[in-house]
Amino acid sequence: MTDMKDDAAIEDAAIDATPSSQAQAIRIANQRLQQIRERINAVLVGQQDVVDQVLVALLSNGHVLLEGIPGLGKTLLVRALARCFGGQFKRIQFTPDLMPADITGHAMYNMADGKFRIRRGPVFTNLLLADEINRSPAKTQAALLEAMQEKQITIEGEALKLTEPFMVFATQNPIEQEGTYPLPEAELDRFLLKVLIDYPSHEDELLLTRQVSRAPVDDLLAGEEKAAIISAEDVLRLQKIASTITIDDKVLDYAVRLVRATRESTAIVKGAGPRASIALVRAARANALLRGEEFVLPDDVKAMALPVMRHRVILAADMEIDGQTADSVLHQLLETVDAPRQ
Amino acid sequence: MDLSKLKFDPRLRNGWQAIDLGFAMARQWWWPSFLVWMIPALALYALLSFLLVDALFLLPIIIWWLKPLWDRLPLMMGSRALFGEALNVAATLRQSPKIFWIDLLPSLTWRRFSPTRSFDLPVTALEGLRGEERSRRLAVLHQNYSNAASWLTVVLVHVEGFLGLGFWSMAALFIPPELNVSWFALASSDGTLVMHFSNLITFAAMALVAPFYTLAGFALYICRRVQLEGWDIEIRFRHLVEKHQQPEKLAPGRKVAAWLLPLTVCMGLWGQTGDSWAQQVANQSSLIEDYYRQLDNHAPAAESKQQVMEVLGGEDFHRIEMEQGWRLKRAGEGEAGAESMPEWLLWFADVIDWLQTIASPLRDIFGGFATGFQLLLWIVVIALVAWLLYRYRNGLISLLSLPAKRKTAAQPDVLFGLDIRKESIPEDVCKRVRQWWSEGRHRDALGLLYRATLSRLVHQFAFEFHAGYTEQECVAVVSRGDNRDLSDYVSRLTRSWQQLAYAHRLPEAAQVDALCSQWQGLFGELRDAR
Repeated sequence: MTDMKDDAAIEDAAIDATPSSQAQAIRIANQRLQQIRERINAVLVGQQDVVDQVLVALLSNGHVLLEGIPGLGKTLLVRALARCFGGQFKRIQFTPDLMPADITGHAMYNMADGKFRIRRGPVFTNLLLADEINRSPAKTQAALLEAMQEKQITIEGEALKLTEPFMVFATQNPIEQEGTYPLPEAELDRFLLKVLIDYPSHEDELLLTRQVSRAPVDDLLAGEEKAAIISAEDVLRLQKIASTITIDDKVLDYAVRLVRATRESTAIVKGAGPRASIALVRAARANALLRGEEFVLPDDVKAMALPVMRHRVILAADMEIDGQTADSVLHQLLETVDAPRQ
Repeated sequence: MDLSKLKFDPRLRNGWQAIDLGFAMARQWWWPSFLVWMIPALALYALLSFLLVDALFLLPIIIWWLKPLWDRLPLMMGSRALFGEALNVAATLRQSPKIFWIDLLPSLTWRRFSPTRSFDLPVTALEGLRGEERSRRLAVLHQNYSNAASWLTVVLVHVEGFLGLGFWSMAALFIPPELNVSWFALASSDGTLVMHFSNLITFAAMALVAPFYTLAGFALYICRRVQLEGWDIEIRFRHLVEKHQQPEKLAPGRKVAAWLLPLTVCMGLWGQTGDSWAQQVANQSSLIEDYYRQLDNHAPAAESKQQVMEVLGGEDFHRIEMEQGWRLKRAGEGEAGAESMPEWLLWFADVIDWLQTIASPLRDIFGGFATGFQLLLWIVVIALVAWLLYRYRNGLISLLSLPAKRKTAAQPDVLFGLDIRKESIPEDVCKRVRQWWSEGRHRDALGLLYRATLSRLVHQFAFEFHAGYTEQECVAVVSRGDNRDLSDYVSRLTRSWQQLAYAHRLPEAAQVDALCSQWQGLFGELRDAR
């Protein structure tokens, strides 16, 4: 943590953008990110892609929609990430009777001094895990909207700033759909990435089982008190560094062309909006930083296209009947859009 | 061939009765004929199970294909047993190599799919006829029974299939429902155990049906010969002869005469004292003639003749049957009938006659049409086979594991918006790149080098890139090839290009120079080599 603070000067220099100092800042930032990545990967075995995408979201200051069946370590991932930067972590289990005030907090009349006191809800944290977000009705889901977009909560007309960095991890179960309320499109658009968690490979599962069964309790983080790698302020710095990564106009154009292609495809009823273009470029920058590069390659854009766009498109009915998924359609689309040259 | 030893009643039978006879023979001689079929086939099956561990699915196909060979042994045995010889499995098996060799190639190739295979087999295996002689013989045999023989094949193919299904169903019935076996997955999986089981079932079905098929075909053949050669009549005659030989022995009239003749001659010679020799002889001759006359009177010749005439004149030979039906009556034939016929009927008969005369050329025309149509059908069939071969050529090629020709896709002219035609690349790329670099046109210089490399990769090395590929993906495609130097070079060049294009950072001049010299080495040399 201290290292990074010492590097603050370098990071400031990076924002001033003299090439050598920027390169150095990126190198150091990348080192820290690799450490974080390794630590999370050590806990969450066999989900390297998921960890990378979550880190991209963190660097882009975006929110993540996690989809996967229960028991693949979604909570573990968020807790491990919070520990890496010493951030606060809170978890809300979404249920049909959960009220907006249960998330945001509420004003309470104090009899003793005859005043209203504001009791802050669990949303006042760094990392918020909204578990099974589609179990609650739209009203409760919408309570998160303001928090996600404005990074503030209004209680009794008083706007309260959330602590930075603030990041929402919402999870969904793709199998059990009965009694759920699908997220409205406006809310879906607020999520920078939709990350799919799948079963680990055989080797990874073997390793995981060996590790967990050695511990006295089924929790890899239990009793493990490792120091945070960076501080919450460092996360903000990393986000700033990510935003300074060079992106060529051609690559920018490629990102926009990719997003626009979803609107022209006959396989998609509703294509991704301009927010997707912005998200794609932000995510591509973060991905470049994660790779330790000072500039964005078309590959970064391509790598982020699926997580950025898969929840922002609605497939045509015949495609769904054919058994196509958003991923398969987007894959085909990626092949048809010319990659930039020169 | 001793017809007297035939083990069945050689009467005239129709095709189905002949097949019935064959099935009866198969039931009668079930174990020996089943064993002689199964033992060599099983031996090959066992051998192949060890040899073709990786291609077990081929096993039943091979056994099935060689069926014309296996079928010869039960046939051989049946043909002997039919004439009363003892059934000897071991002896038949010992002869098998010799039997298998008879007309081996045609049996396994163009005659393999003949629907009358079992009916034709005796001609090949027993009569040993070949070529033209064989076809002539078959043409005679096929005038009858060939229809039944084809149906025999069709029906038994189905029976074989049903037996196989039956075995599968029986196996399925033994599996408790709680196990929840996915049949589809099981059938489509290539598990060795399932494969062995499936092969065994197919083999068992073939072995169980084969004796019936072979002996039914043989029975058809034998019955056809009974028809053609009149065995039934011959055997009747033999029986008649046997019957008539017995009473002749009991009525020795003429034999006694034959004995008497030398006896009397000897007696005459011995006692030639009183009468003259000539008189004696004359006396003796008259004596013999008298005896003969006496015998003739005894013989029932006249009586028989009379009896025969009686029979011929009897009721049985003068039975009158009335048969009614419509027939065409020719004009001028049976005047009396014509007179009694009404005018219009005669006119109608004339019309019919006339129609027949004009129909005869039409018949020729339609006959021509039919031939043409047949020809057309054959063309369609051949085209269909050719199309199927073409359509599944890849599968067939991989099945035969022939090295497929590497597909040379149409090479594009423009890739990622870059002109990569050979003509668009300058003759001396490196010279031009160095020149532009020194002039300060860095982006153009490196761009040209990258473009020239892509062009060579596509045209010289036949790499395929999609329009959606990024530079890094192109590198990945190249590195999947086995040319290490090439993939290293492309990777380094791409890296320099990416830095210039996306990071707006100039590579070192020396680096560009090195890339140029290596380009010359990699692509220049190879081009010369080609």
